[in-house]
Parts: sequence; structure tokens; C-alpha cells
Amino acid sequence: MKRALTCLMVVALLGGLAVAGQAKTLFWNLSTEPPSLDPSLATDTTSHQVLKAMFISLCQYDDATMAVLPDLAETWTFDAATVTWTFNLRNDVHWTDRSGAVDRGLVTAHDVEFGIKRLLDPATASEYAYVLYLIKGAEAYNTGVGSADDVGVVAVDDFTVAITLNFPAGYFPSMAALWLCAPLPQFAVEAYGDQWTEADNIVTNGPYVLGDWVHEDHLVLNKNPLYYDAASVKIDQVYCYMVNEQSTAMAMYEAGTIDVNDNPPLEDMDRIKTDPVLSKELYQAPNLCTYRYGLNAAKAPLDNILVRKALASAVDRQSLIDFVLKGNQRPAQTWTPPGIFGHVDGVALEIGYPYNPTAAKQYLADAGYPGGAGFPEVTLMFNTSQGHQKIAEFVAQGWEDTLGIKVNLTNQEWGVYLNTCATDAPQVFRMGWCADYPDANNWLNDVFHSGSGNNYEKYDNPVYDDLVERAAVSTDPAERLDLYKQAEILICETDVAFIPIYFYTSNELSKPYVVRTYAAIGGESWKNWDILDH
Amino acid sequence: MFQFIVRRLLWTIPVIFVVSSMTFVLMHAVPGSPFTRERALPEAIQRNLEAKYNLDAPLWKQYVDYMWGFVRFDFGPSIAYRSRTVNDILAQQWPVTATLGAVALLFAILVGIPLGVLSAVKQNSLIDHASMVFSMLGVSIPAIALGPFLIWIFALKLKWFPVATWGTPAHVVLPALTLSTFYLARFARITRASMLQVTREEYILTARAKGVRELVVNVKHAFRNALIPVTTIAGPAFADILTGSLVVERIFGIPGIGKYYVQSIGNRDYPVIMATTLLFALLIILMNLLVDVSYALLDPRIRYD
Amino acid sequence: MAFRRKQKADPKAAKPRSLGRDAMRRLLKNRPAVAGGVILLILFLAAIFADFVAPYSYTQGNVRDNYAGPSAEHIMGCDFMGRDIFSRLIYGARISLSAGLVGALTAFVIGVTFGLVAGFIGGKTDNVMMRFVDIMYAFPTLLLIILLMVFFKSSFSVSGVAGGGFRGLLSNIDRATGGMFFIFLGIGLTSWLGMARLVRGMTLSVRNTEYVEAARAIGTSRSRILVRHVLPNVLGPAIVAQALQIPGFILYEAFLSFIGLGVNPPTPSWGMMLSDGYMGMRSHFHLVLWPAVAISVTLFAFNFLGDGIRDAFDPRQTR
Repeated sequence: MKRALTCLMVVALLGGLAVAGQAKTLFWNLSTEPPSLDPSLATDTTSHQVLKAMFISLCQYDDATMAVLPDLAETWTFDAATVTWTFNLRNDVHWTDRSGAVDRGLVTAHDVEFGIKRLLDPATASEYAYVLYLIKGAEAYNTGVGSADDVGVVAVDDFTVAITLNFPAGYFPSMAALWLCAPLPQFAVEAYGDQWTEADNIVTNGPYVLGDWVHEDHLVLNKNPLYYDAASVKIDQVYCYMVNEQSTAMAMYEAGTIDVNDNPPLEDMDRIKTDPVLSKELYQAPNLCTYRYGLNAAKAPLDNILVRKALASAVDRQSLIDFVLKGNQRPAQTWTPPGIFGHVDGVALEIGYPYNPTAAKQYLADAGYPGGAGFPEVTLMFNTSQGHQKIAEFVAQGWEDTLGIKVNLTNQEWGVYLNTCATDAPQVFRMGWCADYPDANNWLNDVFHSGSGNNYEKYDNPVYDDLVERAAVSTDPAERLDLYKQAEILICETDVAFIPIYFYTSNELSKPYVVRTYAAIGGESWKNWDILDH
Repeated sequence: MFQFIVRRLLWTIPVIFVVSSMTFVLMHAVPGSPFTRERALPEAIQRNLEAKYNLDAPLWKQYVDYMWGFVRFDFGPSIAYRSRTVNDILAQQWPVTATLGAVALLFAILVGIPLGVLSAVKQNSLIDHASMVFSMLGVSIPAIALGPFLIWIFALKLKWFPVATWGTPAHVVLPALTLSTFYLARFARITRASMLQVTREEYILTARAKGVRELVVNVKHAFRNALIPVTTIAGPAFADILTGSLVVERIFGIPGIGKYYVQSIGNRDYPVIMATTLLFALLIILMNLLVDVSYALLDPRIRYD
Repeated sequence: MAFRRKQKADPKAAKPRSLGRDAMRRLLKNRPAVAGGVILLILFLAAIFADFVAPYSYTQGNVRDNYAGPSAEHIMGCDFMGRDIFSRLIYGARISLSAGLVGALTAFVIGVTFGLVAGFIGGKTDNVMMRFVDIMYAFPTLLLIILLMVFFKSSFSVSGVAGGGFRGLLSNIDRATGGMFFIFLGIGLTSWLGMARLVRGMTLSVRNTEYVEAARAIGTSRSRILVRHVLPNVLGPAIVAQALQIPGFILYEAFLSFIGLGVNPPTPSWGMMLSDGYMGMRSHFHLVLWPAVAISVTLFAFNFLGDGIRDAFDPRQTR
């Protein structure tokens, strides 16, 4: 009833886009207000989810396989001599305003050139500009040394763009699927400045146009009739709420206000799994993230590797998953998650430390603390969140029970927490990592290389650095796989730099009438979904 | 009276100045920056961002710039929401919080005060006890429990109201109810107490002795005077309801300013922190002034010269 | 929730001292107040002797019993780690009750001292001090408390081995109290203003009474006047006023837990248990029910007792 009313209201607002019964609307919860709908500025998953509906980039990922597929670029070639990638663009992609009715011209190679150069403009202050530093002249321009003219991005003609790199990066097409390489409407950006993404000003080119954006309340996306593949887009409208409270979103799902709940509270998992209706609507799939407890090996008593081994062996991951997390996560003994190239199955191959209380006690005794006697208090810190707190309480209790030691739990607010971990990390601290692109380089090299800014463990082992550096430039998949395996053994087993806890799963509830795909990376593809009559 | 108001309004200026200065110092004393990220940003990127938001300037300069912005009612851009200015955020989110707060306060007054009067008139009756137990309950159930409970009962079970979010009058009911119970209960209790006190005053006894009808005594004499303490808490209560709405806003997914309160500190969104502080400080000052003025209007013995 | 301090006790309302025994008699005749007092007494005793009263430890549980409903072994059921909720409630009373008492005490000490000094010295000092109170009054309490808590937690809840000196001391105190200390400090530092105003007002009026004038005339020293005449007259109403504020502090603790600034786990507090539980209300109602009942009963008791005390000290009360 309520839902029908809302539906009617929305339709009325749209000025009779379609008759109420015919328009297919997906009711979605974004959880938060998207911090930015500017492809050059957005850095978070909420914004990316909306961007994916409104814009296209040069390439896109296949939802299931993560393979790079054409989007704006139909084909691309690489010229080794000039280290240049050339993208040949479609000539039928239009810029449209929010009504979806007004054609604002074709999307051309000049728009791509403008988009990339705007991203690199230091005045734009894009957080992810550094990702494109592999483009010739990009770093110089972004750091204020060079000029835009020297950046290796050139519109050869209206539908051909050439991008020259500093080195032959074979994975560049997968970067071209990121929002960083999206074409931007120069006329709109220049007319409205920072406010060009507001509902009244925005110009887009994707499957949906921004119909309405009431900040913090809702955001409506309408099908774009001028989208190049509009014929295959089935859902006419996506109505996005922005309810952050998990339990409220769950109530909205059960009341039928939203059609998908991609983040049910873990307190409700038992009920969901046993409920005859909800259990059928639940979908669990691996998610490309890993949860870890970082260890500060510079602080006593963790400077003793036996202590680190003892802690690693005393984490009962399976019980944590079965009784606390309840989301069918997978216990992790290594770092790179399944589904990413370079993942090794640590549990099957016996890499790292499985739960073994006997071995854990022995390690601690060998370290000189039999039964925990004389062991100084250890601090386990996490950023303030109920989910992290539950895990910390479980793990700490396990350590106290198994090893007879005292664990002090503290938490800090996110900004403060990161600052603490970067400057004076406690003995044990929580961290997580999610895939930017599907390769172990993003995990083993980007996080634990001694020069990495993400290496909160301050792990510094030249042998390890050498392994991941060699794997980064190697073109032989078998060799790379082997190097990553050695790296995993070194960091998780030999050096115990951190304790991998579990590989994430996504738990999503969808109403039976939602015909959908599940994107492994980069946000859901609503353009491929459908809503059945209900 | 007029002079008093003018003087109090002028006094607002230094107060606001000191409050915003203190906020400025305090928020910069908290570690972390708006650009603290789990994936540490390269230095060049940090520099670009800081330059864009004027955070590379020396602190005193930033302070002066903020103050100059304040004077012109230009609070600058939000750092966390990059297409929005703080003025936009205030303009779009504040009315929602104000509406919710006003409805909640109105509800608290319209139900709480009559309840208190009724209890006082029928002192020690069943009505009195029932309403006092009810109002005690109101004071003692935290919104964190009450909000989800109301959603469960009235939205999911009975389906009388939507679960959450904002937009229609039906959306206002549950959050306003959650927000108002605490104050409703306080109004009821204070009204009852001051009614009882006033009814023992001599002029009431005199009126009764003179044979004025009970209803007239209660309404014309007792009620009017009993309103004085109620008024004194109504003003601050409104400021409280508004500043305290963040739990309710979060639970009910309401697009108000309350959530920016906590969020902006988490994000180190300096311009938003400054602006929300200023907004609420102003609100509190004005409410207190309003209380003093209405106090004088209700009680002729009080003079402000 | 009372996020702002306000104090509206009528200065005329209480003239304790001479009325002490009278008031006590009136209080004992007030049945709700007595009931409140008894409940509070039981709660306090349970909290103090939690080690003997609670059937289980507040940290240990069998994780297989996670979210178990009430049973013979666990009369209120278990939480997500299979810990006994009844035991955690009893231990949690320590935090929640002390949040109420210590918060009130901090506010009381600061507020009374401040108000006494301002009111008694008067003149310019009074003016400056009260202007300061005005400014603090305009400060949105919530914002201040969040900023303060984040600041404390970052500056003093140091990781690993505690540093020395003042910083180390504070951090050790905080650790020893399971993170309570900064909650109290945060609450206390932001809630003394109403008390300061009230006490100043009363001090001013007492200072101008005839007997103080008389005392001054016969050459009694200022400090003696302060201690013998002003303080006793001010203290009674101030205590009553502050007692009525205690429920607010208990709710404050719950609120801080909700926004993630509560005690450190696994230390239980009612606010923490509530904010842990509310998410799963529809799946595991007992998680929310018991802490909510505990908070409600306590606030009921404090309110009844507080009202009773106030009425008992009100000489015009005939009941």
C-alpha cells in the first residue's frame, strides 16, 4: 500500500513518464548520500554505484568474470614502439541532460582527453590522480611541475584517443574501465564548476540520467532513452534511498520499501537463514576483501616471533565465522582472497597458521611465557564499529582463554585510528583490504611492499620486496603465481607480519521478482537487471 | 524590555565569536585530517587537496579566513561532499531538522501540559497515577530502544506508518513521537508539580474562598502561573530536541542536519563542524532569550531594565 | 534525552538544615520514594558485590550459546558470544550507576565551587565568571562532548605501553576503569553550568540576608561566613537539584555508546548492551529488553526518590 503510494508519487513527479503499472522501478538503498557524483572525484563505493548508472568509461568489467569489455571504446591496440594505447571509440554515444530528452552532442575523444587532463589538473585535487601517474607527463602535471600539454593523452580525431605511458603496462585496459578515464562534458564542467554534478546542471552519457537528487534523502535515476544500448535496459527507474542504519534498512526490506538489502545486520542472520521466505531471498557470494589483524613487530612482546606465532595459532576462525559473523565467510590463512589472480589456498596447502591451541600454548611457552606467566598486557585496537568490536571481543577472549594472557581492547574513531596506526601502532590492530583490480599485485605489492603507504605493519623484508617486484613485471602467469605463493609463505608463515582472519562474503537479500546479476567488482550493473510483475 | 532584548542580542556577537574560536582550536587539536585515508594518499595529492581547501595556509590565516567567511555568511565548501557548499547543506538539511523538532515539541506541549494539568486537578486519582507512570516511562526509555521498537510495531506489524525516511506527513509521526516522549514526560511532570504548588498559593485560596468556580480558578489563575516554569524549560527543550535529534535521524533515515554533527567530526569536515556549531549556538542563545522574554510577559513581577 | 543542563529549582523551595528530621519523616511516608530508594539500594549493592551476586563472569561464555533465549541456566538469555546477560547487567550497573553518580558529582563539585566563588566574591570577578558560563552555555553540548571525547581518546588512550607523567596517569586510570574515566570527564565537564548558575543565584541571595550582614558586622571572617553560613544554605537545594539530574547522565552514557564513544569492551554497561542489541531487536528481543528494563527501572527509582526528596524539603508540602 505504502509502496504503491510512493510509486505513484514518484511517477506523478516525473510528469507522467509512464502509466503507473507499466514503469518498472527498482527500489534500492544506497546507505549514504553519495559524497560526489563527479567521476574525477568519487572515491567510495556508494558514489561509484551511482556513477556506474550514469556514466560510461572507455571499458567496463564483466560482472561475473571481471574480464575487461568494450564500452565507449570498441577496440584498442597497443604500439610497443611508442608505448601508446590507442582506443577507438563508438560514434553513437550522446551527452544528455537530466530529462534524458535533450541531446547535448556526441561523446568524442576530446571529452576523454578533457576528462583525464581535468583529473590530473592539480586544481581539481582528485584523490586518485596518482593512479594515472603511469601516463606520460601525468605526474609532472599533477604535481605542478609540468603542463597539461605534455600529458600523453591526445585526441587523434573525434573518435580515436591515444594514451602514451611511461612503461608498457599490459593491464592498462583494466584501468581504462575505472572512472578515472571517463569522458567528461567540458561545457557543463566549465559552466558550473564544482556544482556541475548537481541535479539541475549534470550532463551524462550512461544508461540512466539523474532525475532527482534530494540530498541525504533520495536520488532517482531514470532510463536514458539516448543511451547507446537503451533497447536492452529493462528497468525504467531506480529509486535510491539513503538509509544508513542497518536495522532500519532491514525493516524497510521486510516492509517491501526496498527491493534489495545488500547489508543485513548480522544479528538478524539466524532469523534470515531460518525464515522460510527470507532464507530463499538470501544470496551469499565471495567478496574480494580480506580482514586482518596487523601486528606491530617493533613493540614488545610481539618483537618475539614465537609470540606472534602463538597469537596467530590461537584464533579460532571457523567458530568466529559460524557463531559471530554468521555470513559464511571463509577462514583466511593467507592474504590474497580467492577470485583474485595469485590467490593460494592457504588452508589446503597448509600455509600460515590454522587454529591449534596446543601449538599456540607451546609457542608461547617456547617464547618464555609458559601458560602466559609474565606476559605483558597486549593492546588490541580497532576502529569504532559494532562489527569490529564483536570480532575483537571474540578473538581477545580466545587469546585470553587459550594462552592465559591479558588483552586490552580499545577503539578509536576512524580518523584518529588511522593516525594512531600510522604513527604509533598498537601491538595488534584491525585492518582490511578490498580489491581495486583483480590481481595479487594489488594485495601483496600494494599493501606490504616496504615502500607502501598501506603497510601499517611497517613490514620490511628485502627478500619479500624482491619477490613482489619480480612478480609485478613478469609476464609469465605460472612464474607470477609461484612468486606470489612464496611471498604469501614468507609474510604469513615465516615472518608472521599479520594475522589473516577471513575472506569476506557479501550477504544480499533480493526480492524474488528482482532478476539480477552480482557484480564481483565496481558496483552493480542495473542496466542488466529486470523487475518481474509482482 | 526592548533595551534588554537589544543588549542580549548584541551580547550574542562576542559569545558566537568565542564559541567558534574554541571550536576551531578544539577541532584542530583532534588528530587526523580530512584527507586521512586507509590507503594513504601520496604527498603530492595531499598537497593539491590542502591547497584546494585552504588547509595549507598557516592556522591563523585559516582562522581569519573562516571568520571573514562567517561575517559574510559564506561558510565555504564542504570537504567531504565535494559538490556541495556548507550553505547548501544548511539550507537543505536544517529545515528538515527544524520541522521534525517543531512537530515533536508541539506534540510534547499539546499532550504533556494537559496531562500535567489533569494530573494536578485530579491529584492522587487513578488518572494522576496512570499519567505519571506513563510520563516516567517516557523519560526513561532511551530513543535507541524506542525508535526501532516503534518501527517494529507501527510500521512492520500494524503497517500504519512507513518504516523510515522523509517526505509525507506520515513519515513524521514515528520519529517525532520517539523524539518527543522524553520532553512530553518532562512537561507533564513539571506542569503537574507547578500546578500543585501554585494551587497552594494564597491568591488561589483567596479566589476559592471568594467562591470563584473551580474551573475558572484552575484555568485563569493556577494554569497561567503554572506555565512559568514550563516556559522556562520549553525554550531549552526546543534547542535540546533539535541538537538531540541525531539518534532519531539516524534510526529513521531522516535527511536532517543532526547526522552532520557526528559525521563532520568523523570526516574532519572543518567548515561543516564550524557551521553546525554556529547554527546550534545561535539557536541556544535565541531560545534562552525567548525564555527570558516570555518569562517577563507571563510574570509581571519580573522586570528587565 | 536531556542533553543540556538546566536547573530550575526554586530557590525558595528548600530550607534544609533545621528541617532535616522533619523532611526525613516526610520522605519515609512517601511510598514511591521509599520504593525508589529500596530499588536503588539493591542496585547499588548488586553492583558493588557483583562478583558474588552474578552467576557468571561477564567475559566468559560459550560461543555456541550465542543469542540463546532465557533458560534455567541463563535467566535472561545470552549475548552474541554466549555470555550471560543477567551477569553482564549486574556488572554493567557499575558503569551505568557510576556514570550517573560520578557525572553528577563532577558537575556538582565544579558547579558549586564556581557558583560559590562567583556569587560570594561578586563584582568584576562575578561578571567575568558568569560571562564565561554564558559562553559555555551557548556551546552545543553534544558537539563539545563529542569533540572532547575524540580528543581524549586520541590523546590519552595510548596504544601499547602507557607513557609516563600526567598523560600516562590519565591513560592508566582510563584503562583501569574500562574506558569509563573519559566518559565521566566528558559528561562532567559539560554539565556543571546549570549548577553554577543556580548556586551563584542562591549565594547572592544568602549573602544579602540579615544574618550574614550581622555576622559580617561582628567581624566574622569571609571564609568563615562562606563555610558556616553560605555553604549550608546552598548545599541542600544544590544536592536535590543534582540528584534530579542523575537519570540524564545515565542516558548520556547510553547515547555515547550509541555513537561509539562508550566503554571499552568487554566491560559491559547498560548503554553498551543496548546499542549492541537494538540492531537485532526483531530477532533477539531479549538483547534489548533487559538493558532497557534496567535503565528504565533505575531512572524510575531515581525520579521517585528525587521527587520525594524535593517534596520532603518543601516546607509547604502537606502530604
